[in-house]
Amino acid sequence: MTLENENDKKLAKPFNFFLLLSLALIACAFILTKPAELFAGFVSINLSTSQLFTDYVAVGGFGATLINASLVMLFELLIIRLSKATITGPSMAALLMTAGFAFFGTSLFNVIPIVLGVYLYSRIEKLPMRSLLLQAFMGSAIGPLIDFIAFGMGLDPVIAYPLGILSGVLIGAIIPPLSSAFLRFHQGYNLYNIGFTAGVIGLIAVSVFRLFGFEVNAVRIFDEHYHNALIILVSAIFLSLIVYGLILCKGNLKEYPKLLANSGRLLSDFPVLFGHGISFFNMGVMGFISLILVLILKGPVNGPVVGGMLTVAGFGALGKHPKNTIPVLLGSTLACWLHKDLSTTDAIVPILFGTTIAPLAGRYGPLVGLLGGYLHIAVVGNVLPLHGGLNLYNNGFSGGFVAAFLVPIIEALRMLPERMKSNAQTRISKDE
Amino acid sequence: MHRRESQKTSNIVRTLCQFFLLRGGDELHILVQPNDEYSLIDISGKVNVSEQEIQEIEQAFNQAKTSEMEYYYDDLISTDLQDNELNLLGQMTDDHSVTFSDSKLNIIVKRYYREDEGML
Repeated sequence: MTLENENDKKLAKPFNFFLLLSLALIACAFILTKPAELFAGFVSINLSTSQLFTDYVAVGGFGATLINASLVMLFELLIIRLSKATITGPSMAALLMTAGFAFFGTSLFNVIPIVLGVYLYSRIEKLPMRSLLLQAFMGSAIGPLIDFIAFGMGLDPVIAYPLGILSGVLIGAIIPPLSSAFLRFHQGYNLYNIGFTAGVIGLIAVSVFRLFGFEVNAVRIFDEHYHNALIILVSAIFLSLIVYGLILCKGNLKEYPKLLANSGRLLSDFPVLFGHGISFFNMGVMGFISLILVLILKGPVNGPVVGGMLTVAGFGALGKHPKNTIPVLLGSTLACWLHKDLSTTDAIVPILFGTTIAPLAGRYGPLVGLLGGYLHIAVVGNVLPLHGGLNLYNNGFSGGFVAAFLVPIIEALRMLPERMKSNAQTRISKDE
Repeated sequence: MHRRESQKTSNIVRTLCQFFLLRGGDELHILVQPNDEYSLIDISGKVNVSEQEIQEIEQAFNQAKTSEMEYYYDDLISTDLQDNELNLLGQMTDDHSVTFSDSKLNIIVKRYYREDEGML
């Protein structure tokens, strides 16, 4: 059933916010960079193989990266408008997450085929496209696979480009049924479920590539020259989220404690449950928490780190809040402090994205969140070679395993006292 | 009825059934009536529920529907009937009626079938 009049109006409000944000990014790009450089940078970004970790700021420059992020968001807003969808938690999270990843791996070139593929699936299954927007947008996690086929295999461009695009369309068409099936694997405790799906697709694809002698490996291309500019940029975005949220809810944050009491498990659609105002406010708060953590750890602020911060903020509309996120952040930070160099991109990125399992802390408490965060750091580095960096949401891939591993164990332990009590009662009644 | 809709209807029935059983429900009466437009599910039985839980059920059924629930997240329903499962249930249903008297809870829900609504 589609949304009716009043709900339609209420849920349509965020569209303009994201539209303005996209336009503001374009304006910043033109203020900071000459148009010719913007164009050249944008072409470089769209012709890059984009595997993890390809910092687009290093590939095409700061301005061109802003253009890429805004065009990805504008394209998604166009699809939202054409499909007559309303913007709620999942689409708000997807918009900010993909805008974040447009700093390191998501380009207009690799988004469009995936969206076309999802659209193809919607036609085959006779589903309205608006019910598949999350898969369409977040499906861009596997975008580097398209880029790799088109630009990274050394094939003749006449064959490589159409083959890359065709592969993207086909992958887009299989993402909806796969993502639906994998949701049950971790029971909704891994917020980046499409990342898990893309990880499995990447694993299969890379295995086939390797069978044919093509080697696919993750890369490390970072640019840290724009540290301060990026801090100013994300601060402005997070501040605008808070201010817009406060305007929408007219400064009334009475419902915020209720949001903080929510476990965050999927589907925690915060705008639907608590309103858009409080959700925007929470997104801004989550963004600042991630920024403060990065600054405390003296980490670099580059494309991937900005992507991480924008993703944390985006999921402030779909499951993340300070109460369930901070324990996971602490667990991940502890693991990195013990086993890695805390102030590097290699540590900061998984710490931020590790919050994909925030619902574990929301449901089972901060200690489980700490443990989950710690385990996430252990697992995330080991799953990266499986897909050779072709899955941008590598932390969603890892988070799926961590959640699927922890949830049944914790549930069994929670049931233990009840079962022991029940067994004791059975023994007593038998004795009698 | 489309295979997808029949799965959704059975998921709703299972979730409601679990809801009653976990609250001490004995002797449940369940009626499932699918027709060309919608599925009607009527479930009743004596249960131990608080006023707050009744309010939560009402809130869950009254929330705005999101398009993502038409496909995708409904797969999470009935995984363990905790944490936002009532919200998921509310998202999957359209009309509802909840009555509670003399410890007897009666929930009637309707889910209209989602038709193909054009190219986009």
